[in-house]
Amino acid sequence: MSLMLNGTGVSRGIAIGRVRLLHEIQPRVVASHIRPGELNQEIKRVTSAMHAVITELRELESKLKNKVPAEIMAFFDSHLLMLEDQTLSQPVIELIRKNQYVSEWALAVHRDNLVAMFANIEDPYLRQRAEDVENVIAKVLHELSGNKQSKAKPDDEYVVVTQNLAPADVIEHQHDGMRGLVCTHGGKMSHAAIVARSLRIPAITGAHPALDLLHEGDEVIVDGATGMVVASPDARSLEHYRRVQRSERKRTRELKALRDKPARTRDNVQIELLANVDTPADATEARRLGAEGIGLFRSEALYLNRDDLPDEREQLGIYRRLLRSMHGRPVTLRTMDIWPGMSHGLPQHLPVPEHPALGLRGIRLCLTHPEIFEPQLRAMLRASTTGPIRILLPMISNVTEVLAARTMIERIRRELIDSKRDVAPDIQVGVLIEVPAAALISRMFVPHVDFLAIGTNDLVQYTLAVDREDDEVQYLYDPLHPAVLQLISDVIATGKRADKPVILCGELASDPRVCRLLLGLGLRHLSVHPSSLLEVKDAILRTDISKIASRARKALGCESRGRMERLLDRLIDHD
Amino acid sequence: MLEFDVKVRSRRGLHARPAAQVVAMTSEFDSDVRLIYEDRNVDGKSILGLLVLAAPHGANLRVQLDGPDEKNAGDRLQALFDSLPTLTTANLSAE
Repeated sequence: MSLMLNGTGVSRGIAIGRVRLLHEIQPRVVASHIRPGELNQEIKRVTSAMHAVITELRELESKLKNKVPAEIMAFFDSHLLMLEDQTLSQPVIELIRKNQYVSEWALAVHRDNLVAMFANIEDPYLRQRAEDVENVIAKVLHELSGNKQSKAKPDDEYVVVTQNLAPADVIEHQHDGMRGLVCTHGGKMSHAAIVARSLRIPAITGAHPALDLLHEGDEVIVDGATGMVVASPDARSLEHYRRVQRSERKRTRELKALRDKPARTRDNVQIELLANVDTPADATEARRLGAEGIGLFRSEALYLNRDDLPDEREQLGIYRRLLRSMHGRPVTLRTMDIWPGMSHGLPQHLPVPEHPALGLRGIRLCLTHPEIFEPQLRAMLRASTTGPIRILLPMISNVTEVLAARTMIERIRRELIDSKRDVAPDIQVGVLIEVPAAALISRMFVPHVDFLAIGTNDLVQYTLAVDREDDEVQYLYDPLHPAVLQLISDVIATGKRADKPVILCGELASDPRVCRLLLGLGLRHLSVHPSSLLEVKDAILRTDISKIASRARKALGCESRGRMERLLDRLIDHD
Repeated sequence: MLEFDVKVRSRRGLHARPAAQVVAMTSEFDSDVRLIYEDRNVDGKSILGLLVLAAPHGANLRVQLDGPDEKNAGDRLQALFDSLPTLTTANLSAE
């Protein structure tokens, strides 16, 4: 009989395989002493077991190195580092030498000591690293016992069911044939979930009764999108999920194949497809998915959850890493859009705005408090020697702000050059159009900037007077409202007349129909979340702008959402 | 012997990843490396030592280097601490 249970889907996709239960397997250790004369032999036994585990992990590491993102491999490295750590091996050898413990006993005693040290740590995350210690020692104990954890045959496709899985073990199991992961504990942000997403392993966490209800060898379906586990499925469910799995795989393959294709429409219009990112790790992912550059780096994350401000040196490090991960492709750095109350690092005397959306934030805060702004500009300008940067100014509502910011950038550039720092000669500066006033006067910015960008989320909020945080008015939040579309269309037209790029940054374009509409309105530069890059490229490749341009213009006159939907559907090519 | 202070800039403190980055570098040095925070004084080449140090974001660590390459090692270590990621993989988007 089939059985269903539910958890939280944390990594999409369908996995079908046989259950492999992993209980916390710490091998049983018997406390016993070595016989006199066996000392050297015993020390050799434990050190060679450690070396064997290291060799095994190293081999696996070199096999996986180019297949697994570097930031995920770092989890793997920490196990290797522990095994090579004298703090791990020396006390074990001492216990054998001084107390004549057998290797297993010495390892277990030292493991418990280390775990006890970790137990005193206040930080809950670091305290949990005791798991890594236990994990690593378990590997050595298994090696000593000669019966290693039963390895699956290479062609076995299995689903691991366990309490929680260490990042390194997720990687290792995938290599051995794991196709899906069910954890009874953890959530969307647990390490296992993050690694599973990155490796595209369908995964579910928080499936509490899984260890009790599922048996070793059960056939099981894991749906990582819905969080559903189906055990011993009947023929019909199996058929259904196989079909879903096939079509998902086909779609993934199709999209993957687009990675290196130029984003060019059917009628040969070249589109610049960029990514919105928050961290250097996102940038690595974006490049892997074929992004031609970063269209928006939100520098706010640097300022959050801390009591001080990031200084020039720290910011420089981040910007350089971003530029390096993009291998010479352009990176658009948005200067901070924060306000007092959002970042605790800002001076305490600054009053928290009553309406942050309308208050002293972004460029307003930066220009009235240059001492807060300057380190960021200095870091951005210094990073320009690592790769092409574009500086993007948020919350601009008039030309004076643009001129003031440009003057400041120029002054800092001179200061840097005077103090013998290198700065690239041509740094592009652009305005982020998100205040309706800025959209209405976009032509006035053109002589003073190198490019324009449109931030759709805030533009919608300000144009429609809808608070993004207020659930009661979310029904009014409509990015395709004719007023919003009119503003977007006007800015695109301004850019075209002045021959300056207009980048649209926002998830608006990740809907293929809307993407097509925007291309029809003349948009040529798009920036989306890395996970939408391939879908958007697919939409671009299927678009013939010459055929849809006149229909797209009609969108500006759609007075109801219903008519707009019908128009969007008609923008899809039927061929 | 060379002594100086570094600031932990990684957002969640000296966690597993930044600690691994530090150890990967210090183990290349010929010099001895000690890291001191509050009452804890650990071997800077030991991943376990660094984890148990449990240095939070913003902590000032005392670094002691002793050996033939201490000058160069100091510069590299300082640069590494300056560039430690402000963000961790926990921020990888959840789709």
